[in-house]
Amino acid sequence: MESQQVLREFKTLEAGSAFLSNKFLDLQNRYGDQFIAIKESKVVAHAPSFDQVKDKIHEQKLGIKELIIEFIPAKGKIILY
Amino acid sequence: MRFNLELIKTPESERVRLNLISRQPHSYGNIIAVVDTGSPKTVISARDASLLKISVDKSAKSSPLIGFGRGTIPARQISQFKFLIKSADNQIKSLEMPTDIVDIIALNTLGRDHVIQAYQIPTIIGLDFLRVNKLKLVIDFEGDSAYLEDITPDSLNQALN
Repeated sequence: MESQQVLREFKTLEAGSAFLSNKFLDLQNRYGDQFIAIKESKVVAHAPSFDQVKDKIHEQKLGIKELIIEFIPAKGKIILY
Repeated sequence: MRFNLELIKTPESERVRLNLISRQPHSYGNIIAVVDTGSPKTVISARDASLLKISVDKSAKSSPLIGFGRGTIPARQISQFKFLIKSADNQIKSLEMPTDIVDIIALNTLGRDHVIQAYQIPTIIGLDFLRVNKLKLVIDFEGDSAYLEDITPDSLNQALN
């Protein structure tokens, strides 16, 4: 039972991750140098700082568990960690 | 057993990512991590630590992280952080390992630019993840695939049988 639940969680995670990869250039054009929150393959919040995105998520009363928050680098910038 | 990685190609860069689920008590949730063989350590990012509300109050201080964004970033270590990963054939593998977590309470006392930049950095899968969990990393740009392979004796025996 629990493993079915975990598989569902992975499915949601993988869908969000695939959306992020497949739409990366579009996302970069629209939200470059910003943080974005993704839920069910939709951008539900974006802002220049992580805290601002988090505030917007709380305002919309969205559950953190189903969300992905990523930073989208600006076009022409490469991030080295 | 194979665990597929996402091989991300953009005009400016390539990345290899691993999807994980945290099963740390009280901190269940999703993590999209970047595989970075230049990092000796696996580090849970500031934004994942914040989103998953990972408590590090009682955890030992770890060495500050250098070369990880601007300046140094304070970190703590959880001795047995619990992760789940999913194999290509939908098996779930549970992993536990010492893991550094960005100390967001200490981080948030630093300058605003420093903090904003630190939150841009994702969770990093370092070389320790491969060593501790006995995983082999394969990246094949020509074949457009990347994966981790379980090389524990049990897994190898299963593959032979």
